[in-house]
Amino acid sequence: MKKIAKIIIPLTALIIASALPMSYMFQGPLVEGVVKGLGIKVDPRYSGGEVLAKFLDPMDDDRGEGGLVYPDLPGLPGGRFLDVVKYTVHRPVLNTFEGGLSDFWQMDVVFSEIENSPNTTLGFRLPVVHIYIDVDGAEGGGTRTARENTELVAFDPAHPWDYMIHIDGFAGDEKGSIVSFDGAYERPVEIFFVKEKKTLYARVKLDDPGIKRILDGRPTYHYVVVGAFDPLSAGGFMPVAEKAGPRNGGGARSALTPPIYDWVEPEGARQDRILSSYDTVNGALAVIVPLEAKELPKGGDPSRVESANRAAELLTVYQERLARETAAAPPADFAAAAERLAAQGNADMEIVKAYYEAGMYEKAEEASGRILEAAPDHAGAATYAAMAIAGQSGQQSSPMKSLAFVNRAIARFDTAFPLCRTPEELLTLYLARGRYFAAIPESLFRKSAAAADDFLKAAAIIRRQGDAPGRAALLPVCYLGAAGALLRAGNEDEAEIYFHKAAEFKDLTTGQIVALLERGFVPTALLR
Amino acid sequence: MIQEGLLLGLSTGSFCAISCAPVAIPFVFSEKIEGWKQNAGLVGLMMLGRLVAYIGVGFLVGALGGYAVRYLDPEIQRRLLAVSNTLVGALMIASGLMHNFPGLKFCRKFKAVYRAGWGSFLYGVFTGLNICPPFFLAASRVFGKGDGLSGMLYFAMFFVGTSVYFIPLLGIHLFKDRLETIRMVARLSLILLGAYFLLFQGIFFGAAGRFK
Amino acid sequence: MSAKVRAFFPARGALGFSLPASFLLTLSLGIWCYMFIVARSTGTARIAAWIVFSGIMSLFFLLLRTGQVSKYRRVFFVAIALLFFPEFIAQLLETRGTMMLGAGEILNNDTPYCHIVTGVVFLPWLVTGKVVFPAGTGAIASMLIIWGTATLAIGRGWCSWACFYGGWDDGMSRLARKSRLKIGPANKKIRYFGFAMLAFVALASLGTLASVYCDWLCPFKIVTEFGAVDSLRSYAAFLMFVLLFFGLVIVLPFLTRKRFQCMSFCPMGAFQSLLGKLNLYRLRIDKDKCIGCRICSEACPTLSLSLPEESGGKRIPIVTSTCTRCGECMTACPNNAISFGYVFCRGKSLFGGWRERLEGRKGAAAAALRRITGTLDELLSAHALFVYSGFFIGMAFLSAFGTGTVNRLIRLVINGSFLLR
Repeated sequence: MKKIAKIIIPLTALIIASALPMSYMFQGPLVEGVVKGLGIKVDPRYSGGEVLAKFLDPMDDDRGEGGLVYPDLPGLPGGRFLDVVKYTVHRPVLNTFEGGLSDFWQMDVVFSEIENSPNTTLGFRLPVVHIYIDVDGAEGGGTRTARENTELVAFDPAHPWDYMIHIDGFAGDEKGSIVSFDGAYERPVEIFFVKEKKTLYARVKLDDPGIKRILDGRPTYHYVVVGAFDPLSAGGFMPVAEKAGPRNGGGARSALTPPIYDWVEPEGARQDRILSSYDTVNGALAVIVPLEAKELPKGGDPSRVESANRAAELLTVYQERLARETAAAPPADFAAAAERLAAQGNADMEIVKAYYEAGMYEKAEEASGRILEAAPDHAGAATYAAMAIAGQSGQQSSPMKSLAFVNRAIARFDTAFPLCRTPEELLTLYLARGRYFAAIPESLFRKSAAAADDFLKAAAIIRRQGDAPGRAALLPVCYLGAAGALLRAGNEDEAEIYFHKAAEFKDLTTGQIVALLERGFVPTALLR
Repeated sequence: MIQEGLLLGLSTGSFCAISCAPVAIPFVFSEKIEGWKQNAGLVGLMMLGRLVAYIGVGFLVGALGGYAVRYLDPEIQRRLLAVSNTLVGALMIASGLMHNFPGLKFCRKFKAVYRAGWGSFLYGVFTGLNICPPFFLAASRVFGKGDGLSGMLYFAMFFVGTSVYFIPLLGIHLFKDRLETIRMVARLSLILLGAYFLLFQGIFFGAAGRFK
Repeated sequence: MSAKVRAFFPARGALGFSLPASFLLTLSLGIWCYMFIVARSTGTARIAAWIVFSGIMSLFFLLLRTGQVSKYRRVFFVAIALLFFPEFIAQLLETRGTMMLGAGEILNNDTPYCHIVTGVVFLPWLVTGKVVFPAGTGAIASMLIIWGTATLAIGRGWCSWACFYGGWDDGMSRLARKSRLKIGPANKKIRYFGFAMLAFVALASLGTLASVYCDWLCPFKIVTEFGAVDSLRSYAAFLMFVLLFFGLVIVLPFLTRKRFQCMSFCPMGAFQSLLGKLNLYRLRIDKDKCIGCRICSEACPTLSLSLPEESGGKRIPIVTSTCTRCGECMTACPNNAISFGYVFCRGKSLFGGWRERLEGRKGAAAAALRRITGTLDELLSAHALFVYSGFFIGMAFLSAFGTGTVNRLIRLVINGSFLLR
């Protein structure tokens, strides 16, 4: 026994000592395995409690009844800052043990973009958010807005609201407010705003008997409306008129047009139809319907289960279609094209691109290097030089050399940025870098979050270009790229938003459809 | 009523055990336990203390009926909890000091009056007053009855359901070999935990209402 | 090897390795060190990487060759601590603008997760299945992997070779030449106080479902990050952090020449002591060489060498589970009676029997075989594999933070700014 121990134990020690570097190198897959294997979950109280219900809202629908435009506010950068993409309701958190966390109920509002206004309390100035909540069904509550003529909408009589939460960027002491429909209860609401996540978190204290009714697990009904903030107008919603001005939004078709740029609509409801359903003849306001936040049955949200089943059904069909399309497509002979250009003495970006498409990365790097020698601030050449180096990192036989190329590529992408002068050049660079960062090993380089950021910046550039030809087809590429990168970075929540957005596009390629179906998202165009 | 109380205790009793563990475990391990009888005796007295506390609360909640709604508010709960935490913290510090510094004057005096039996019972009463969420849930079921006796019965059954989770404490005498080291560690931790309960969960907590 | 070449290198110590073994082990560590530190950096970071790389290689080689485990280990260990916190703080200032933890980090489970949290939240996790600390699951798993493999490899040696906090009190405990406050190995309660702390934080965290140590008791908050100081509670907590740091990490180690924080306060240290039983290495005291002088137990900075009851004859110290494998006792022992050994293995080394059979045989082949088996014995010895593992794990932390700090120091000299953006 001792003799065996004398051999086995040192060898075991040797194996363990050798395994140490391996565990470090292969951390990525090991991390996933450990999270799943040990079932690691963080106490949801820190992030606001377990999620009860999540509601996705279409992106780029911040036009209210259909034609609203933003006010002409001086100093406001261009962007879509009133566009909510997700609303989350948490379960109430009861923490009677530790005094640091108290009892609260949290709601999260996620925007697609948020402006950065440093001279405000919370960090933004344009959005004002009202969340109207019905906690007791039709028992009591209001069907009119908290302040008369603010949002110019009425509420579903089956779900009159009991409490209204007001959030704006100038809130004193970083607090919003909550008020009951009869005005008897008014309290501050703790607000957190995380710029990087473009998310507002509202925590309602559970100190009113009315609010405490939610503790018995009943469904609650939420109306979430977003307007442009005007501190001088009652209720805080800036009015809208036909033409936009510094004190009003534009694009309104009537005096009864709700000054609501975005409303988180329940599934099946259409924002433009409902917000334009007012009756100017009789003076009747548009009536909005609530989101129902309730406990899901054991199998999960039935509509999501149905969607996932449908996606599974369609996936096989589209995978076969993709295989057929790939087989039928004639292989492009990029190498021959590159050689032709070289023979012609071509020394411009055309040959750089041709070498790159042909996978001749070393030559692509040389060619772009020659352009940069002549014109050191040539953004396109700098971008392609970085792309060529990135391509070479995948062609190396030894991991050490690959590592060196990856580092060079990352540094080279960084140096290309200051050279980009036009949105076009930036777009190319963001897309190239985003694709590369999404492809390199996450466990070693941790660049997936940066990749998602690049894809979203590319998307923002394309959206600002409006209907520029050929650009629309790139948007699904950007959103799918961002969603995939966010998934790799472990951010499933945010990834879901962009998969949802990508699914809305009409002219998706088969490959894009397959990518969505694999994640359980059915493109809108395929929904019956 | 009986079934409901019992089932509620069984389904949520782990929560009660969790909140009582910081008091029960160091206390039981700090006492000199020679065999299973002594082990069972100590744990039994602690359970008796918990039962007395539960029945007392049950009677009050049942009898007060609707008035109890206002007083079992989470904020008020915590103030009451602060009082019981202060008391249990003080007891833990006193017994911890007595075990570790028997030569001190205070410790000699305390040792003269302290008995593991009544200490056990008191720990049970204080931990029984710990109003954790399942307790609150049980209390809210009893509100509208307006009847002290049914409240006592409900809470007694709730107690039985939660007591299942304390059964492991009966196995302490099995650690005989390591008991001396464990006892030393438990006696030291009594002081630390006592200070934590007295200050952080007791005085500061109660003074601030909500320590924030 | 010629005498001139040999003279260039330090002389082999009593517990030291031969030159071939020292080179082979250093080369082996060097390959990983190069890959994780140098190969991934560019620009001034590469210069910093080479500096850190050279430092690690030199210390490791000297430790192996001279056998002075405690001396070179301590330099390495203190360097880990001193290079960790500037980079950590600088990264916080660059990304967050402040050392204070904001609501955003907590809401998004973005709080950095350190290994001490594991011992604190272990019980609540076991009972409720949830980690009561607002960190990402990836970050938690990542630290668990590093810590788990390290525990398997070096057990409680984590506290003297890898922990990026331990270098503070280790360094402070060696600053004074003499202790001003005598604490001897007879004081069991001080050694076991660490277990009482573990029981306290584990049970309090279980009872409150919050990370009590992190909320109130961590002395290292002031050199890493802490919650926003904006209320009475947070002021009180911050004050506790400051007092604990200066008391337990700076003043008491200086006065007593003992590692107070690691020995009697850190819950993770006690946790490691319990888990360290899984480890293959043990500290061995050779009963034949030991003369019972007890200098080792006085020298031990964590009071881990306890003395048996008086029973006539020499009192050979007993190595307790709290031993952090720091090597101080090895250095202190006048007879070199203490060394690293494997569990269940005593007596002859793996190839010792073969060398005995080759003894007396003449010829170049026999001589070569004797040398080869001798080197193999050294390479597979507990001493070699333990210190190799310890240095590797410490190097892993240096690769993440050490090069960053040195890079920033270089940039400070060049640009006048410690922050990179």
